[in-house]
Amino acid sequence: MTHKLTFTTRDILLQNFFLMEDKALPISYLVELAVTNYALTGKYLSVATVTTEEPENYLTKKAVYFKKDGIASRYLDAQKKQGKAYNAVIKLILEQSLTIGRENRMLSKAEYLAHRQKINAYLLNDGEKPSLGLYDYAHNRNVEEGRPADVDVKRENPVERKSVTTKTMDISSEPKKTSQKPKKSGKADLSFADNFVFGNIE
Amino acid sequence: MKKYEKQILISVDPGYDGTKVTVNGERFDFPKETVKKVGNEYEQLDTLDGIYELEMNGETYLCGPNIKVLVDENSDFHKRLGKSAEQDSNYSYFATKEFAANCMTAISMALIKAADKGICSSKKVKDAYSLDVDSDNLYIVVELPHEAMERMAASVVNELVGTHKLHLKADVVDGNKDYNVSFEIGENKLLVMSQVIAALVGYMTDEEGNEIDALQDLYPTLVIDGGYYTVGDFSISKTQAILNAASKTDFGMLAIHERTAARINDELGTKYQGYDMDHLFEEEEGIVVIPKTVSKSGKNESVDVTTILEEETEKLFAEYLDYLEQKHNYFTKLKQILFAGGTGKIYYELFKKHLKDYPNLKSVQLVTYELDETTVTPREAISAGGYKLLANKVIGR
Repeated sequence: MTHKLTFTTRDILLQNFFLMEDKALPISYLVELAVTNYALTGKYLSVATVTTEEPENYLTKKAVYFKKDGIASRYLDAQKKQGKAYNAVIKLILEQSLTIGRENRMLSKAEYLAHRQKINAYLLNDGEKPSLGLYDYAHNRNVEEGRPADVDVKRENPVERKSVTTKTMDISSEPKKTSQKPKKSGKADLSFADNFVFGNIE
Repeated sequence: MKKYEKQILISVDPGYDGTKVTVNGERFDFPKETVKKVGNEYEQLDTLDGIYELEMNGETYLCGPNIKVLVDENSDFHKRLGKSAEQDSNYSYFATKEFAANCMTAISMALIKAADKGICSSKKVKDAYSLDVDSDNLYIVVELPHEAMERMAASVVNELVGTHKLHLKADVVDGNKDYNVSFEIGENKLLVMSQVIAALVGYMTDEEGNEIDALQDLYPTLVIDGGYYTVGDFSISKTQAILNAASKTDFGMLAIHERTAARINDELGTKYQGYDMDHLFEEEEGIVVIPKTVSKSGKNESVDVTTILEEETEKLFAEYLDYLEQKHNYFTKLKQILFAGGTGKIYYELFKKHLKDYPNLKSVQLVTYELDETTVTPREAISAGGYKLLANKVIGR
């Protein structure tokens, strides 16, 4: 199994990748959650993506988020102060399995769905602002599934996701002011509507 | 109102909840209800506020913002309007003289507004204003329910194409005035188009029909146009293929109103019709007054029936969602849903409660945008969309 590490040394929100566990759930939705979660809580720092080549030639992309006040973040800061390279430190953390622990882990599908539900409720002004960090979701999932709360949950059967889209969830009733700029010069091709129009303009 | 070289573009959405009109980007609306004046129902009609009188082909028709009040006060009108509602059920309304009169009132009002902005000229002759319309530059589009297109589009064209000499008494600009409006609608100046398609065209083009990036590549997109009588839906793929387009009468606001009226009648012993509900909830704030002769207390009783409307709306929406889910494979392939129309806005609000069931959806939008420096409401979106199609075909070509 080959591991390839790609570092995101700055937080470009729409370039984060999360673990995929289910082919039916496109990775873009996990990206959306990552972005929303980050925007709402501000508690996580995106530090890297990990690409794993599976024996079947599948590719698994994982985003690594360090909890800002977690062990890995403190270790990273300490190493940086000693002059170590950022990328090297993160690689060291990952290789030494200091991360992907309960404080520095990736979202599972169940966590994603649970969190998304909260975000939707919040966006619809029908719920509290989601403030739980990823750790809390891991904790809750462990409890729900009968494991000790502090046991890290191993990934099972990760699957390939080769590409992502970078749209964020958009639920809006506001007028589209910014979208009214022409995409192209000239008239839109509205020939698709011709089958549903009676008559001709000359 | 936009000033092009000479062109006047008028879009008429003859919805059941009102006729929505866009003229060179500016929008207005008035009630769909139009009744033929057969006698001297109201001898001093001039004094009735908010009632417009259109003389067309030797006959007089009444419409205008206060037409519902007039109809409520007059049992003959009320009866005739009930008959008109029956015609709605098979779209034959679009072949009636009342529809043509309502449409002609809409076009006349649009031209009067255009004259007020200097886009065409008018002069006062005796007691009436006479409009000088350049028919060569007059373009009209009428939007019909999707299901009505096949049967009624040709009929609408037949009704509207030709030379028209109209007399309108109405308060369009600066009070009640008399207008003589003459114009010709050429066969090559008129389009009839599907309402739900118009909703999408409006969303994905700018004021002059240029393409904009509103859909943001979120294909397939499901477009829903919820009107008073019909609710249309289709999906559009990345190749811009229109799939499964249809409009249903089972899920419009009228269906909700009919169920609501039936329940109110059941519970309170009243005799409401579905088409009375609009007035009940708009004008009477959902309060039904039970006369003391039948009330339990022996006094006049006021009963708030808004809860019944809310419950029936939610029930019907649940049925509609079930229909949509089955038709569109539980939305598993969709990236986006757009809601347009007045009923569409209500359904959009209800759909938001179900968002958690469809985490795959990337975007759920109400069709609303800026046009002529004002915000197009979902209710206006059909008329505005038809106008943009005209602009796409006429302006700058």
